[in-house]
Amino acid sequence: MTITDPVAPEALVLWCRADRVLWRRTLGGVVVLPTQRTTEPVALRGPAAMIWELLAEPLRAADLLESLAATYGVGAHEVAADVAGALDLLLELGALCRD
Amino acid sequence: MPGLTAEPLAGVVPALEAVAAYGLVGTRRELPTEPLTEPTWSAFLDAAAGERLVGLLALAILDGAFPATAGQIEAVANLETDVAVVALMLERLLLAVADRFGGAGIDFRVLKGPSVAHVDYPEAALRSFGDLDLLVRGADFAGAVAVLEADGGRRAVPELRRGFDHRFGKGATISMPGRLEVDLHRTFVAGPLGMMIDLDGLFETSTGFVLGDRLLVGLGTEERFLHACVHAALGRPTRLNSLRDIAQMALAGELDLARVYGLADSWRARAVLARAVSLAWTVLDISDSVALSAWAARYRPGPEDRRLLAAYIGGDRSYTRQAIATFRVIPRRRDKVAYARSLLFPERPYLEARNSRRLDHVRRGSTHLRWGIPR
Repeated sequence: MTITDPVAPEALVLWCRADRVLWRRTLGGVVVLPTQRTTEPVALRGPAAMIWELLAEPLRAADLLESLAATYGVGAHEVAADVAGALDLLLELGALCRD
Repeated sequence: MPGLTAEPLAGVVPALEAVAAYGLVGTRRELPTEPLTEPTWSAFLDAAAGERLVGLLALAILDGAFPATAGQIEAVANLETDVAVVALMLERLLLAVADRFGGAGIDFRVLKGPSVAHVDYPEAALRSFGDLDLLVRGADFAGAVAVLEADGGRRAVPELRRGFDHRFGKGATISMPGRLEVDLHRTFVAGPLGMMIDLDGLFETSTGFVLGDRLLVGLGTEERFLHACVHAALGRPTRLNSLRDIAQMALAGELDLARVYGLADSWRARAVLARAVSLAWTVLDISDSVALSAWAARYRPGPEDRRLLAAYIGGDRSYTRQAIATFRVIPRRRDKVAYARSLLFPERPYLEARNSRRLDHVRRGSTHLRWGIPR
């Protein structure tokens, strides 16, 4: 997985919350609703909610992965695939943007 | 008890009031020390949703202040997600309506829910809401309805009589696609108080808040507080979250009290202000007295105050009693006549929507009048 390699192009991608996203923090995680689309709100739980929280400020993928791994007390390699998948899903939903 | 129509189970009401007061400085309400058991828990959770307290309940659980079993925590988390979904759908609708109103040159203020949630609470999730309340000028009212209808909205009850909305009406409820609802307001409340509020003045101040990447405007700080007071003092029943709004704003230290009293004077709403603050302090059992709560405790309503309150919360509160009280406060004779004519002779679409006939309408009024004109 390339984002575990701090100099790989994917690891250097800057991730941020999309501009027109409405959201609520809840007991179970976070609910997000991109306003530019006609989608339903999506409930983020566990690591997906944590990704949203960490992206209160834009972060490079490698830094995001490192923070998440530290939060859950696991190695970055163990969660890299899940994190990449969650980022892609949130991007597809219109909740995140990448630079 | 606010919001509860049946006899509540023991333990439900104290727990609800404690949740409504959770986090307020000076409250003596105490949360349960053990997880609630069935059937109290189920009744409590239903009532918490009805009183729009799910966000505060979730916070109390998260803080470890409200003991709950794993199953109860999951139930609250699921309920809070449902509540958040509704709020977000309404906020997305608000952004769309703001674009449409902007395009049509209609100035508006966001009332209650989204405005109070984003401005007055540290987390928007703590203040849930079930519809959008928007204030527009009387002159823009018909245009605003037309904009919403062009977006698929449907007005539930037509205008009473041509010209009534922009001169005398409180507002209209518009059902929007997706089972969302917009309450379009010309004033805060029907009846005499609604006629005495300086409506143009409500557009001279504002408080901004950001949704997504867009700046929206709600009422100015003191106007927002007084609106919360009107809602809480005259509500039947008064929801606990309305009382929380009052305490939340009053204890934030942002209110210019001289302005609050001045506006309340000019609206002839001092009794409403006093009742709302006293209710909040009593129900939420706030021990700390602040200048506003001390003033409210000392306030003694005069005859005019009592008549005004009776039009809303009197024992025989009725459409006719409120109409007569409204008639009294309309200043110009010409307007009084127009108001009376509208009430006595509504137009056919209104009657059809209400499923009543012209004479039914008059008869309903005259039945109340036979009991004597309330003073």
